[in-house]
Amino acid sequence: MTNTVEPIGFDVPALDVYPSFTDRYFQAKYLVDADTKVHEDHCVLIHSNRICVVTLAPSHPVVAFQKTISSINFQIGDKTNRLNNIVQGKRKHGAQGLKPEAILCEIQCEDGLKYSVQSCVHGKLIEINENLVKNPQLLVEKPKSDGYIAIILPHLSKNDKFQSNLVLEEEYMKVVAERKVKVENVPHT
Amino acid sequence: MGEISGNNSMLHHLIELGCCKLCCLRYLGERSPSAYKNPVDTLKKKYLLLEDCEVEENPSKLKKSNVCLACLGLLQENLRETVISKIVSDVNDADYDCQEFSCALSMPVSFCLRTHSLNLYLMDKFPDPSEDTAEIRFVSVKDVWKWVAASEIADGIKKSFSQSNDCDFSITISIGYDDDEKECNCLMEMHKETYDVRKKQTRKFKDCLLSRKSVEALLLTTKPDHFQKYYPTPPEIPNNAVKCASVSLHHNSLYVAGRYNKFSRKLSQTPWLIGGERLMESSVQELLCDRIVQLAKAQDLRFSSSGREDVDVRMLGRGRPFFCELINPHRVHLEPKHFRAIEREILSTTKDVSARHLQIVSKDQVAQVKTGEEEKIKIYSAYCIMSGADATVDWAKLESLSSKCPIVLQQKTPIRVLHRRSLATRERSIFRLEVSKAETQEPKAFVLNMATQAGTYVKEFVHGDFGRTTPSLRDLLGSDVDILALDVKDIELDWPPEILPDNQD
Repeated sequence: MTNTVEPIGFDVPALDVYPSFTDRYFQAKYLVDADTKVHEDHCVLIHSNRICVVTLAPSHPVVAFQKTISSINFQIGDKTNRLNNIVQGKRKHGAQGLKPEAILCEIQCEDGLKYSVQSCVHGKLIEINENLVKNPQLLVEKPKSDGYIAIILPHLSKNDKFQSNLVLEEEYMKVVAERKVKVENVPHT
Repeated sequence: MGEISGNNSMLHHLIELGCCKLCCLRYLGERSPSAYKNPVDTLKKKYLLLEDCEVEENPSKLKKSNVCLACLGLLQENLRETVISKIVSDVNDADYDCQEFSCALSMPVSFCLRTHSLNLYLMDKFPDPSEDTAEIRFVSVKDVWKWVAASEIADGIKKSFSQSNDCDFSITISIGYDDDEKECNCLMEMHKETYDVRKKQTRKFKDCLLSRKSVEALLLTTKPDHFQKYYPTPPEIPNNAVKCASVSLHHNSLYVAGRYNKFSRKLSQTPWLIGGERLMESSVQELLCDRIVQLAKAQDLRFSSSGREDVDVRMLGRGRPFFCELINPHRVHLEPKHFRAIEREILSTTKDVSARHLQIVSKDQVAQVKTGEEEKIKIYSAYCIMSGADATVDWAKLESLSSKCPIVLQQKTPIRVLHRRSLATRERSIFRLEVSKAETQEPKAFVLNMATQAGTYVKEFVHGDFGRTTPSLRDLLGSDVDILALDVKDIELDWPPEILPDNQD
């Protein structure tokens, strides 16, 4: 009596296009017009274990216009440098605490414009993507994977609050579509 | 002759104080267990007890047939029989199949005071020429109780009594005494300062202001005249006898080891509960161990294995070494045929797991499997897909990876486990890496066969986890690749010993 073992891959449904790693494990939610700054949309990738990965939305000017980033500044005010975050243990002791409005970093673009990135989520900062320091352009090239900005352990009891400031993919797509209509309707001056 | 006559006057004094026969022998320093079998005979023959002082037959000389002031009745026949019969019936009801037992008595705290008082009194009144301490000169209640009770218990429960410390089955008899608190109250005055402090240290001394150990330690430092101010020497004759408050039975853990296979991609290793709610119908642990627990009639179990695979990962090949600790087992004589039957039963009831080489292992063997966890090599097969829209499998590049081994990875704790593990960057090695064609019709798929160091996160090695594992297969190939199925093919650890088919009756 032995069990017959099916070859590996037989239970994987064949597809024309396979979803990305990001799509398979994360639900994307969006913060539209962050801090009332028009079009500065953020994206929060929520893993099935509730860990949040914060990044820029495809519609954010930096990503949408494929801007060249000259630097990303993680020094917030005089006291806080997001790169100096140290966490210990399972519960991430010593982590910098974040409120949804907290600034994670400032993106300086070569066109002279500067953009602030918000935490979007109430929680503990687990890590900043250190690869962005050497290669800030990752943020433009791969915002939904290697160009992520930060990983945050959300504060679960304050979960309700962070749900309310974020919208689902569908709603986000609607907002972006409406913007396009508006832009097309603006008379050229 | 001088010693005997000295003993004789001490004996008469003990009887007058209200000591029972066995306690008389204790205080006379009698160390032969057999002397306690027939105490009246011993007292008459060895200690020249005269007929008219005979406790049993002529109680008129005593106040009345009192509760012994030294043992609080524990050694007196009536109570002894009640306690023993309760132990016997409790043990028989619990139905343990082990062959030996050890037993321990837990005495009330006030008993320490009583013993201390009587010791002081007798040491003063009958000084010992050899200048031994009371603890050496007199025989303890516990020892005598075991001498007289153990053989009776042994007969009643059909197990042999063991004096050894590593006897696996222990009976703990907790002795209760109604006047315990009343008799202990004097300590609050005797050591007012100490107890006033302790009463304030509520966290440290919560529920146990008076423990036997702490009281014994305090009494050692108490001067006799100070003690006598608060506690009578000799102690008073008690109004009540002690009683058997509880009998608790415990058998040391039994360890059953084996190797398991897991054929399902929808089965977690241990019960998966979130907020008390089950996420999966069953688990490897339950499918393997429920029957073992039933067989051993154990109270509880702890499942452990050398590593663990994810819910969606199959465990093939020789299987994964595991063991379960059976806590307080009532059946310990488990035979190979029982284990073979369990293995067959698992095969016939589920397609999801199987077990082999089931056997009893020692605690030392269990420790072996836990050490050297880091050095183990694990063999995996991964079903991978080139995930880019127009990507194709670059066989030449994949095949060239074999020669790059060992590949040393820097792995940050994967995002998927970051909620319950600490953040760290760990160095792990891939010792061998070979690519083969997938048996599916998928042109974008290939199978990666790997030998890795224990603790390597294979899924993250393939897709890179947002660049948090470097180098990843994606880095090495220079294009997006994803892992859609994973099998563990072997854990290179020869444990527990294989059971050869010859022995499978």
